[in-house]
Amino acid sequence: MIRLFAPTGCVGFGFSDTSFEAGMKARPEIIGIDAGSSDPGPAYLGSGECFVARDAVARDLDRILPVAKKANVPVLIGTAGGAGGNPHVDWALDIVRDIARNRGIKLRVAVIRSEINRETLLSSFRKGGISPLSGAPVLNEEVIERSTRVVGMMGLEPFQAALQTGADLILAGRACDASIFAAAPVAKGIPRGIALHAAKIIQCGNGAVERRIIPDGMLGDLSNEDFVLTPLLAETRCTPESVISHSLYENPDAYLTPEPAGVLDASKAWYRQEPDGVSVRVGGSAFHTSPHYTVRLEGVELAGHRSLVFGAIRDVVLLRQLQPFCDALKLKWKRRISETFTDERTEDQANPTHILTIRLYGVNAAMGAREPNTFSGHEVGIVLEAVARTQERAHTLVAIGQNLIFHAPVQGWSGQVSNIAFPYSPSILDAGAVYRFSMNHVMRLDDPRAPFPIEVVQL
Amino acid sequence: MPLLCDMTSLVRSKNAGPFLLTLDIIFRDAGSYESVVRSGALSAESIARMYSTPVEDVKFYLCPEIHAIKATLPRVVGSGDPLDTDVYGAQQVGPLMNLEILLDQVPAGRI
Repeated sequence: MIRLFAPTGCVGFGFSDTSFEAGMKARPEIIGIDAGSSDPGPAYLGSGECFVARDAVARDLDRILPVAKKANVPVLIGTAGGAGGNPHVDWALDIVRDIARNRGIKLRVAVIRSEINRETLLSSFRKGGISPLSGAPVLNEEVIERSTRVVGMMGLEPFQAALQTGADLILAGRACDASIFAAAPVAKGIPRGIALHAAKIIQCGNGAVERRIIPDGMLGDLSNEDFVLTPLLAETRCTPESVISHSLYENPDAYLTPEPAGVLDASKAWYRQEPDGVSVRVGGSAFHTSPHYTVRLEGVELAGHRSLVFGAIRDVVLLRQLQPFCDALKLKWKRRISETFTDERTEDQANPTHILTIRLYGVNAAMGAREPNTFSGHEVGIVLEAVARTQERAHTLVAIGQNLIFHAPVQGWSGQVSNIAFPYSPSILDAGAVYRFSMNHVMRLDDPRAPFPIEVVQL
Repeated sequence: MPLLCDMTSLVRSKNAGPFLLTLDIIFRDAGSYESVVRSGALSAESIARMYSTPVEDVKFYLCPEIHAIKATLPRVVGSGDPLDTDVYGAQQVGPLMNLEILLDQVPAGRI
């Protein structure tokens, strides 16, 4: 038996004090918290920033770390700082350092890094050790060279090694969500199918409850045969349906989840409501070991710098001809840019130096080319946007587009028109660096721990 | 004809990693699930048409134990790409919700 405790689904998302106390009272052996995701997009891995506010992360950790230290329960954090790169891990470590100092506690921290350097990537790529995941962009040596940052998603093994250092806190870079929670159970001999399935659900905190009112905690009791999930927030419960439905969320496959050492298979799992009506017991989860151990690589590259202008169109005569109006405007916009700058190449040419986009909110902004409906309505939000090599140039390109569209003639009207309601002055917003995912691959490893060095820091 | 959004407790879209989009359709009850499965309105082919994607790129799952249907397909571009429209893939549900379901007269439970 081993009891795992996830106080919340993501560091910084918060939890109730009552739930946390109840969780600690249940005397868990491990506290785990996921701290990141690739879901907020490539910008965070690229910039080194965290998508969760520092204050929010500090508040959660300040409530967890002193209590866990006192109870002598190790805390495992995966994908520290939101994206798990070195700046993210350092940022999280800095927060922990502040907490240790302010609370007057001594913390032994095992820091596991996950950035994979170019030499390792190139050597693995040349040996055929890197393969694409579904939908991944084409990889070559140039992509590896120009990628800003690449992280590997560690499996259980680095966590298991870090646990052996006797650390109070394990602060890990990019990690498979399930590894955070499955490391200790697997080390104790719990079958991987049970451990990983339980871990996969618990890492979302109370994500698998019937109605999640606020992000909160979950307990998991694992044995060799099955596991029991118990949400901690009063008046919330897990049901077999809520647990199975949760397993669909953000997973490409309904039943199979690839992990570094193999595949978690929940296709024959069973789910039973416990007599308390709150907990759910799960069993029958299997694990199929793969012939090769692989870790997922997440990499990003700089795409440029973005500026944009937002406004509304309320002229119904213009709205009737909006798409041809925008198509013509875009042509004019491109032409004006090439007349103004000899060093700019548009997307019609090889190696474009900028990307221009017109987004129409109220028409097809959410789905783009996949939108099946045609426009009907009385108002449209419009964004003119440029991604260019520098922020200054992006700003200038948007200014050119803005000037063109504001007074562009509208068929049916004569005389000077002003086509857009701009809500802001200044109207052009400089949105900073734009990244794109350059790698979504798996890399074969002979040693699951090799690219994930562990350093013990005494705070 | 009822719409899919009137027969479901949840229709959601979300990224499944930076390059895939996954659609979860969870029905209100087994009867609604069975009648939609029987109607043929949802299949890998119909999803492929709705999302302008080659059918061989669509993965389609029936999950009768929770009366749900799931499909996974490629995103148009990677999440957060300069040309992306929806970083989390959170609002790619419109055509699904408005899907008209042709119900037959066979009682529920007899697929």
